[in-house]
Amino acid sequence: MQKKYVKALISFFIIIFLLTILSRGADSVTVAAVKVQTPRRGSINHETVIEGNIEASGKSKIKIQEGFKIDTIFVERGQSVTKGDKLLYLDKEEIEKQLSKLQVEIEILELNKQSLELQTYENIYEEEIKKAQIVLDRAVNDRNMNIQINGVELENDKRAVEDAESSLNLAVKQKEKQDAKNEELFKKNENENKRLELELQLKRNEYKNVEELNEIGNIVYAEKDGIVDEIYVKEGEKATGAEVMSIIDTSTDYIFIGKTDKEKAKYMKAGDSVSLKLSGKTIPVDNAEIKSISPEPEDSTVKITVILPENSNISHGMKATVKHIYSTDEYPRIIPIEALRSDMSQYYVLAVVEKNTVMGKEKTAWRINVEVADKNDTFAAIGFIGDEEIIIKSSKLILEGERIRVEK
Amino acid sequence: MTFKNKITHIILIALSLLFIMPLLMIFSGSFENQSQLIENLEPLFNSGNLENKAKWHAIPMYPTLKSYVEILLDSPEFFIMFWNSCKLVFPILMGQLIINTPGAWGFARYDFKGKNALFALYIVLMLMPFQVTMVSNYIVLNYFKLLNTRMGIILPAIFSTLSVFIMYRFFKGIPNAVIEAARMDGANEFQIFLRIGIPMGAPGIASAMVLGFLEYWNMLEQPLAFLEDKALWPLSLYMPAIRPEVTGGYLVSSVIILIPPLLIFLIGQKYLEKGIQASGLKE
Amino acid sequence: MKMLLKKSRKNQNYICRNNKKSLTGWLFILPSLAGVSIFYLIPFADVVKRSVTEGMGSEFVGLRNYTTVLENEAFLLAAKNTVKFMLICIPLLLVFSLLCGVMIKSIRGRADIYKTAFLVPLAVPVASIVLIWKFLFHENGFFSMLAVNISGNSIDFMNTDLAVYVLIVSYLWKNTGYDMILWIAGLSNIPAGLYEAASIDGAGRIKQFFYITLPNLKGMLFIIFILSVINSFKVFREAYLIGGNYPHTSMYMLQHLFNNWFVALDIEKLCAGAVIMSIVTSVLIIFFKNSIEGGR
Repeated sequence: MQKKYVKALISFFIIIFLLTILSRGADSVTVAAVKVQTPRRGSINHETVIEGNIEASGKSKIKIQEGFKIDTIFVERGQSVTKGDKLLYLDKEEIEKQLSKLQVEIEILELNKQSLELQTYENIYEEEIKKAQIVLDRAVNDRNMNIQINGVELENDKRAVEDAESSLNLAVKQKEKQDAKNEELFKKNENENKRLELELQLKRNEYKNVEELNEIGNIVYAEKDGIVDEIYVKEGEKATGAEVMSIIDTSTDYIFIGKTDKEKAKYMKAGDSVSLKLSGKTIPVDNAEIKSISPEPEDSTVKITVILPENSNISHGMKATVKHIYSTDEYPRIIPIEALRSDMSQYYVLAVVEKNTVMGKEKTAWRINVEVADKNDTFAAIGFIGDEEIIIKSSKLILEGERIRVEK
Repeated sequence: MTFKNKITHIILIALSLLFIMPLLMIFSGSFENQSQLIENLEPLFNSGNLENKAKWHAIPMYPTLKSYVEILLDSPEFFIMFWNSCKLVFPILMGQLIINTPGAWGFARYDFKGKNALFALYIVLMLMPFQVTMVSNYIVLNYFKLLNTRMGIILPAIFSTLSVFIMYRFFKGIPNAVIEAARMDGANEFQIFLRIGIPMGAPGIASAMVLGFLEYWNMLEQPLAFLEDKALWPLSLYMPAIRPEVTGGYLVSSVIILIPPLLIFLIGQKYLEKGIQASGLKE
Repeated sequence: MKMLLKKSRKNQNYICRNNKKSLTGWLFILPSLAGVSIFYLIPFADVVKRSVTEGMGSEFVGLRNYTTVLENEAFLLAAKNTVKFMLICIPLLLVFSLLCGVMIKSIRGRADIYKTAFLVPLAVPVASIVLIWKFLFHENGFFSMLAVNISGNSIDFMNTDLAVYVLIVSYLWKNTGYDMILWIAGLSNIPAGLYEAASIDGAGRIKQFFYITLPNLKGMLFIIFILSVINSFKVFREAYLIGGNYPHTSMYMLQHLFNNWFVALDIEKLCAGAVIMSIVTSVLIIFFKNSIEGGR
């Protein structure tokens, strides 16, 4: 009977022993292993990568005015041209037609003007007045004579005088009417004259211009060395005055043009140096400088222009990426971004703290709320904390207050 | 007679059950589902008279091993404290064996000047409650820089005079004739002690060990007063803060804590009884 | 005669081997004695010294610390509680365990199981049992529920003067087995012949109990009494685990007080209190010793 109890006792202790090991094993599995680090001094780098293209900064555009017809195009896109090369052959038929037309119009105008100038303004009623005056005078004379002879005004004479007076008045009025009419006509003709003058001037200018055009040779030559960039017209098209061709001036500097978000652009400013990498090549070009940053109105991007240093390997149209690094001042406390945690609205880190427990001195995770001054994808700069070590990596998810094991 | 016998038996059975009942309650509760326990026992943790009284089901409502798993597999602290208890009790018992057995033998079989006075002193010390010896303990431990260490608990306990007393009784009971005979045969004192004293006094030694185990396994005051470092705490200190949520674990640990003393008690019951008797029997 | 002879021979041996034995005796007890001195005797002397001095042991103040302690309210409360506790529970325990012992002794058949059942509480750690006591005695606990069913009122044991009953029950539960074994030992020592003679004389069982059993147990009574008193100090454990460092006043025992003084580093009071207790205990022990020797 007693032996049974003794056996039971021994088994009990063995079981407890095994369970001790088991529970330790279970515990160590559940206890997370962490890596720690004390925050260090450092700056945060904000790196922006912009994609874009290389262009030659000098591009010349060839415009052809209206009236010409593009007869022949001698070059094609991408073709290198040297100064004096033929580019286009223009058909002047239109121009000549226009010239003739203009000439005719001018002559017509001049004739019109002339005829205006020859205009006279007669007034026939002046004769009438004279005549009426004479009649009046005679009537009056007659009257007066008769008065002298007879001593009395004869009815006939009176009427004769009256008639003569009214005829005279009538003539005067008619003359005045006619004068007014003549005045009007005169003014009208003056205006017309001016108008014609102006029109004439216009036509003459036009004529001059077309004449000038006419003097342009039929052939358009390249003014500088370059590469034909874009050709906007086809043979047979009429020129509209817009660009027909653009040519890249190979003697100018190359620039890089790319677009990026406003957000990223806030770290860059004109004058910053960036490094450029041509796609397909591995060696970057350093010391390129940002020439300008300008916001695009249609969307929230900005256009970045970068001046490239002399480099024979660059040519127009290459794709490239530009890398810009903005380095902040040194912050006193930088931690890897994995060490920064957040819940709802507050950032925090987990620090290692030793607590005195039954298991002895145990390391546990301790939450410390922090302010984040700045961060990028790999690091964050945090506000003041003590000199504890921060957990930067853990083998599994840990919560505040949990025990942890620190790995070296 | 038989009727009276039967009645006495019945009464004794009833009383026995009454006495064992708390044990059974602990045992059954340890298998009870934790939420059920919370529900049952929550009234105990609220002051003020409640409509709801606490309950205890004789047979668990929702038997489960979960509390056992929690304690046995998920709480390394439990085992640390368990082994702490062992690390205290077994050295104490070993120490008592080595030091107090010769001591008891000396008092029992030899006469020397001042023996009676000394022994009386031993008895006085044996019966002193901890309140009295606490202060002196502290002073000594402080002096030897043993505060907050295991030895600070183990050493004073080894020199407890109760075990001396118990073993004394048994050694005293060994017939002189046997000793004399051995002396005649030329054995020296030490050999007599080893070859005769210990075997014949074995019941006394065993009962001292059993009583000692029961005493030190449940030792509360000394660790509480002198062990500050939680990593050293024995199992007897595991449980003071009871909350409804941990009652399952509490009960399980109670079961586990009482298994060793129970087994040892069952093993040594005979010796225990003899030991108790020895402490009371007249010389 | 035989005994006389034996004694003298013993004396002869004693004289002859006096020195050698004496030395061996000392050797055997030396380790124990050394430890006991270091850990108990010498420090106790220090405690006595501190109890009559003040201010880190510089000033001799005579019995002033003692008066302080004896006038200290907490001390008086704790002492009163302790005495009250003992006055209630010790007689209860003695009678109850005696009855159990008598019952066990009287039955025919296997008594071991009962003995085991009664002794098991000794093996149960205090911490385990506290929850059960809480369950039984809490305001919302088992007995309270019974009380509600009976009288309509609940009983809160823990926070009222009834708290001491919790300790009493716990004490009885734990120590009945212990005392019972002692009674049984004492009962076993009464020669059966006395009972036979008495029953032949016509005395009934009850008369036998009062006239034979009890007188013969007198010696045992003292011993058990003393031991129970000593064990009653240990009830602090239950009080602490149920009520913490500052339990209800009726549960406030001396150990609580000492613990709190300890924490507060009230050394003078502690030492004076310890000396007082040791004097009281020693007085009890003198009784004990006399009863042992008296019974010879």
